[in-house]
Amino acid sequence: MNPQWKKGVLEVVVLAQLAKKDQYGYELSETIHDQMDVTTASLYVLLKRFVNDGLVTTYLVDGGSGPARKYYALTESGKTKCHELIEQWLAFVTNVNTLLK
Amino acid sequence: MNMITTRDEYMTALAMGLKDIDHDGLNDLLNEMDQYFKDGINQGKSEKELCEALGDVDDFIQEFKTMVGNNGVTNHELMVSNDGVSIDVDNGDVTIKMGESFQCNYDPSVFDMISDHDGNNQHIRFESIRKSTISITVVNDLINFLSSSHQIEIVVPGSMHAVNINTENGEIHGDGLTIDTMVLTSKRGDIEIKNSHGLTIECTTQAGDIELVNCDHDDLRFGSNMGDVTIGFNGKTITGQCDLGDIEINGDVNRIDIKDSKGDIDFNGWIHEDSSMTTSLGDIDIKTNDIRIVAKTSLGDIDIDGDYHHGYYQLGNGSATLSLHTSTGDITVDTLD
Repeated sequence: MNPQWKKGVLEVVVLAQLAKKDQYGYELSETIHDQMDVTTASLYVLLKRFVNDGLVTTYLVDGGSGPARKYYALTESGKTKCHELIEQWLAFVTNVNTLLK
Repeated sequence: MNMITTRDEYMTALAMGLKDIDHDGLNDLLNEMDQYFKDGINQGKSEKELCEALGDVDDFIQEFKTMVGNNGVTNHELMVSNDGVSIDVDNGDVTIKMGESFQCNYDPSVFDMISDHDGNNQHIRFESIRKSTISITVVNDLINFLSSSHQIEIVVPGSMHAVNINTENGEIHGDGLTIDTMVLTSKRGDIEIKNSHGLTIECTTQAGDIELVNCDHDDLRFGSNMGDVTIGFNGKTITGQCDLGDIEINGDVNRIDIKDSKGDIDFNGWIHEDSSMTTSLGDIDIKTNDIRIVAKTSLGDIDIDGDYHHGYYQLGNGSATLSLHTSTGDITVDTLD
């Protein structure tokens, strides 16, 4: 798949995954890496950007004996953004499919 | 393509490549990557597989640099949307100021801010504070602030409903505040509030002094074990208790109920409803308007305009009664002009 397409789609995929449930970095990377061939580095960079943009927030959960684990969660504006992107994506796919037929 | 296959090599390459970005942003990323490798290894992945999944480290460095911008400093900004916020800080003095901002901003070069959820509340914790003064801007209905020794400056918006500040050793300073409910607690630090307005203000310290200057609230409650209390206040009620410290009040208040054990009480101003001032060992010195004053002392003198009395004295014709009690101290009463 075209790498630029994947990067564009990664945003909506990550937000949609976090809309399902709060996740920590590795957990999210496994889910996404299984389905999409994008580098995990891109995922972490994207998460940082989402945090900086206020779409995603983080919180720590005590990891028992180990260090606290950082979870990512959607903020209210992240949820709104997620809905917008999913709608845009679905409309885009429908239109492209129509043109390809 | 940089063919790195071990965790240590990857982390080192990442740290070298990003050494120019801000210290905390880098630390944060390295901690995250460290956790990634630990999680992966626990899941049975090899370091090589994990490095491959991350992708070329040079691409990682480039993507990260692009993301944080040319200056290499990440712009951290936390927006707190819940109506309950609790901020815990290890140490410090606290200064509260009025501001316009509607965000909780912080400078990541000064400290790490870690937030987590507890039900509907978001808890924010500051760690690794690297400067003696930090500045935070918060907008919310409620701030709970727990601190024990760095200097914290909080800028609150005009719409602030409640501020709750708790320090161990730190002082609490506030100026020009309009806040419905303020609850300020310090174990050893002083509490100093100037030019504040609101409904309720509560100041409690064990060893610190309390000083309120030009404060205008409906209700003031104070408590101090060893510190002195100095109050310039206009409002409905003042209630408070001291043990060793002196209490000095200037103002116009409907009702005052204060008790001291060993300290003196000094009041200068207007009282409009039944009120009482009691101390066991201290002197009481009153300068007020024409209300009915009942003064009692066991061993001390009562001095009304140079006339000395013992034990019990009553004067004034006002509709309200001010009761003064001391066991061993003197009581002095003057009328305001």
